[in-house]
Amino acid sequence: MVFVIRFKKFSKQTLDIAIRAKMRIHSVFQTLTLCFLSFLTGAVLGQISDEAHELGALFEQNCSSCHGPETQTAGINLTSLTQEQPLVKNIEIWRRVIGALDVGKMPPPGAPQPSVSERNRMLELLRDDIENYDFSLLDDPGFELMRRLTHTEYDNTIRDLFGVELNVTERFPTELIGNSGFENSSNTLFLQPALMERYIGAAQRVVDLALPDVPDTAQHFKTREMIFKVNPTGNANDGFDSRYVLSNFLTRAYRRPVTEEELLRAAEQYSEAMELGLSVEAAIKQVIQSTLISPKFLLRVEAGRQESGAYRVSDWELASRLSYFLWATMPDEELFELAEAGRLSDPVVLEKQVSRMLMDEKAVTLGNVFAAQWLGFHNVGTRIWLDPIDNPWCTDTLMAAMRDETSMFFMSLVEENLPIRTLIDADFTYVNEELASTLYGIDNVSGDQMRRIELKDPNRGGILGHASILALTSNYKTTSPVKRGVYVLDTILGTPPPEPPPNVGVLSQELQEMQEMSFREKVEMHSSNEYCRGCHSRIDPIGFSMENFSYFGQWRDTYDFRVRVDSEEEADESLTINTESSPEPLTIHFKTTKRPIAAQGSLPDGEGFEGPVGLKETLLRDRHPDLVRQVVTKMLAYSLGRQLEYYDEPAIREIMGSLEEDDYKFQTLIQKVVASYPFQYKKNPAEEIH
Amino acid sequence: MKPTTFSRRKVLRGIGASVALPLLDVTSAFAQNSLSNSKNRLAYLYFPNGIPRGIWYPEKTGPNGELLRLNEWMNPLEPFKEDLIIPSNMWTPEGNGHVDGTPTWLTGHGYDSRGVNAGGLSADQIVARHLRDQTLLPSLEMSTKGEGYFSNSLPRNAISWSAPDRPMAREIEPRTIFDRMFSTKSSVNSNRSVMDSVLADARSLANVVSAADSLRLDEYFESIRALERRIEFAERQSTEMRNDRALTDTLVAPTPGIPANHESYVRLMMDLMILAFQSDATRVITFMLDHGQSNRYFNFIPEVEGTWHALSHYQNASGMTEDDDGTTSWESVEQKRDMYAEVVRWHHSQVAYLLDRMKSIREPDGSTLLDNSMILMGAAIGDGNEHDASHLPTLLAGRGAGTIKTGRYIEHSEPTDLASIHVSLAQRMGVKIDRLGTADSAYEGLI
Repeated sequence: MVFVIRFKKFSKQTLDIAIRAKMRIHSVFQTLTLCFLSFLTGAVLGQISDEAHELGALFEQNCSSCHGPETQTAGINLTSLTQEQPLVKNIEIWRRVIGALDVGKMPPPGAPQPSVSERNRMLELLRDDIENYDFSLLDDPGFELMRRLTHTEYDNTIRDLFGVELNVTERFPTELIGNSGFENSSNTLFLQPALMERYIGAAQRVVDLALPDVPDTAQHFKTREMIFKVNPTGNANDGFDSRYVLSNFLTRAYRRPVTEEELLRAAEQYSEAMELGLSVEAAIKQVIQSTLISPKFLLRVEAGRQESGAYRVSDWELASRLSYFLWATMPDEELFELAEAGRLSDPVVLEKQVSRMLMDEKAVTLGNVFAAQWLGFHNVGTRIWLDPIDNPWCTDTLMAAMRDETSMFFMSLVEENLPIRTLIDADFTYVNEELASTLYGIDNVSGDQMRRIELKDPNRGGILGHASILALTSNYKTTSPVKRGVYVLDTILGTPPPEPPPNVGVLSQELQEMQEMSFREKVEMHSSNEYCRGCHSRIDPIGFSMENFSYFGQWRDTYDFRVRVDSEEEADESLTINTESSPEPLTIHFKTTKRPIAAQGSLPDGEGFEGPVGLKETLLRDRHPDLVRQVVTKMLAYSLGRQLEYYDEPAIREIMGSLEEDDYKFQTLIQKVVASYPFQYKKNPAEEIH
Repeated sequence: MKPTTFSRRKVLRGIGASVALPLLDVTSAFAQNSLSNSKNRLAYLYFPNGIPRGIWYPEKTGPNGELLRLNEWMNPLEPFKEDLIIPSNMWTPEGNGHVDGTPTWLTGHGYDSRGVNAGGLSADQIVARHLRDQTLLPSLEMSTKGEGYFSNSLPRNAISWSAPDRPMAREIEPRTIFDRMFSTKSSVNSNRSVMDSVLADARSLANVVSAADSLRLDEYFESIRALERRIEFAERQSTEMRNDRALTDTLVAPTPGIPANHESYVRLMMDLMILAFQSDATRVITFMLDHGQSNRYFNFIPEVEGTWHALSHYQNASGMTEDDDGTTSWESVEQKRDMYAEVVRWHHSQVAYLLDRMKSIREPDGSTLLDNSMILMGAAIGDGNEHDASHLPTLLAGRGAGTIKTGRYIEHSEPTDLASIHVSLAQRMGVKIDRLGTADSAYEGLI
């Protein structure tokens, strides 16, 4: 079926089916029909392949010396990619190609350039195939290898299993983050021997800490009660029923009903331990320890089914999908009961459960895990910090408050069911005294406790005014309009500019030596270079509009340059210091010059605006659909624990459609993610070998 | 409930019931002497951000490339020039830089970040797989604790791959490494029986999950088997070995945590490398001297200011670029370049420490630990300012148990695939391979 390249337009599809039908039915008139068909398919083939061929030919002519079968710079072979139909299969790469062509980044300077009409034609063909593709033709909820618990999920699950917070993963190997941007992505949750060793050690520690041989705190007794549950219908001696205890624990640890076989095996292990002279408790603890290193506990297991089509996950599996998405931990009693009763997948029940779960304090992980990893503010204090000796004000507690601000703010959007736009523009935030006074110049807040405050300054509200976000988009002690611009385009809007080519990330030597120019002028000069301008004219103006926010989010009206000067007359500040190298104290002089901040900005292909307020207004007016799509995309990827693929597009569009009807409310978003096809279904991968 | 049959587990436990898991504890001994004949060791020291062009060469060589004098930026290694090979013009054809270059460095393949796929196993893991039944740990992966924004970025933190889609986890804390080699009884009490009982149960899971999911289960069992081998090895070792007083008397477990002083930290990690080789806990080690785009400060080196990555873009000294910290600027390109080179020289000093110690340790036949080792040090970027994929700084120390003719500078007029050196080193570890990634032959220049 070489001529069936895509089913984009109804007429072509019908025609194609008609042709194939004819081939079968009229075999008697084969010769005649074939003659006719060759004429007809020739036309169809020509029409369809023309576009693919045309695209291929344009690439061949303009791009293949670097991105063809022989040389594949950056791993991109446009020849083979063009042959992979439909093109949306590689939607991410094609979007990059479109971006690079659009801004003139490719072909690179020095290489022969396509004519303007050729460039436009390539873009037209690509956009037609990518953006106008009929996604309703796709029916694939996806599949991802079962994954282990993340370290966070492990700690939380242990907490809920034993009723005590132990945090034993502190010395586990660092979780690394790949393309999805989240730690919970199946393809980066490896199970290496070094980690296995940690699991084995942790299982022992958990048992020792949660169930010590000699309990002496109230917590110890509480945990004991939880584990050594008394069978209410008990008939065993002294109320202790090992089978009941084991069954209870295993069901909770495996997050599904324990099978008879598993129970027998556990009971056997228990009795053997007893025979060796262990106490009842020690014997149970040994089974628990085994359970904690079982793949049934460590992995998010979902039963496989021999089905070629998509199938719904079981209610028990749904309970876990739900709890690990909304709470980053195991399901609670209520979810288990509903799963047991087979009622959880009932849409009405499910919706109620989601609402209930969002009000539970465990939902805080949507702020401090989901939002933190999406927006990147988990890096503040851990990977982004200032040297405490030079910057004594930059304390651990300040940086914790910065993280908490954004996390609590995000949670309030969920809890109060506010529209997605509030993320960008809000009239409230969360601060404590240290954050308010050190960075925000707000002085009527006292105490360490984070609390909600109304904001009088319209610039500050929304995450783009949060110190956490402003710090992580700065370089060490200087703002970076470029980083902030990229952050808005990429992280917030999901429309990243093309990657810069290696080694153009610096201003030229001549430029930086022109000291009298402002930074903005220099960056703009840099961007006036034909090659750089394509991207930088889109990136920089966004960042410049945020220049009133200093590198940790402090407000400033001018740039202050403090330079050393020779004499006291010129100086406005003098310092006397003692040094080892000179016997006399040294006096050094500084002068601070102030330069105005030019905070005019613009979005790519958009109108100009000024300052953070202008930026926020413009984003919400011109780019609201991108913002919504990005929040949907990120939330869906996190909920599924995998990076999204082209076949998730129908789900994204459906969720976006539902949001449009309900004022883009956050709870609607979460409800719709849970109700979505990929969240409730799965499909075995095609290449699976049985 | 009464057991009706005697399980294998029970029999096992009957034998070992009263003993805590006999991993090497501090008072027991080392395999040091019994296994050391023809024992070759392999270590890879990775450093990020490249070098300023032109600081990785000898100042004076003999007619056959003999190293007569190194240049000023390599002078910490001067005392060891007889033990070195410096090959010029090395490259990795399938990508370079902070991201792709890091996984490529030891695999020789390109890296696919969307698919999380490094194309193949890394050289160290190929060797580790070959040696896995011979040492306590098949390999040891170490790294300094990453600093800066990219310290949890997967590709920047992964040089060692045990499967094309699975990087090895790295240890960053000296004490953890020590414990993995010389585990004291507290942490592993009765783990054997616990593990044993979980395995049978886990196997039944294969019937439940889909065929695709069983790949993950394989990953689980593979990890478990690695641990079993380790435990068996430790048992065998502890019964065979005699105490080596000289070693055990001086052996002190490092305190938990990460030393604040970076030099102490790196040297402690190197001490552990030596200990691992010396005790034959492993023969294959990778050590990442920070992640692939490190922004670490080296301000503790006199005259050095600014972050490592910023320094690597030395052609702009304004302190106003995207890589800069906003507080550091330089007087000139030359000054900045020299600071960048100082950071490289500082690393040479640490390597000199490692080589010096390895040279001081005698093997039973009178040779030194260094004689029986191969230490490859290098980066996946040539000139940092240009993000150069060629002229990768590379040096090899140690005589590989008499298989390497050291003390030489090897000049290549053509770019030479770094992976071909990996092939040569793997062959010297007993692995029968003749290609890796882009290299379809071994590097012939070592002898």
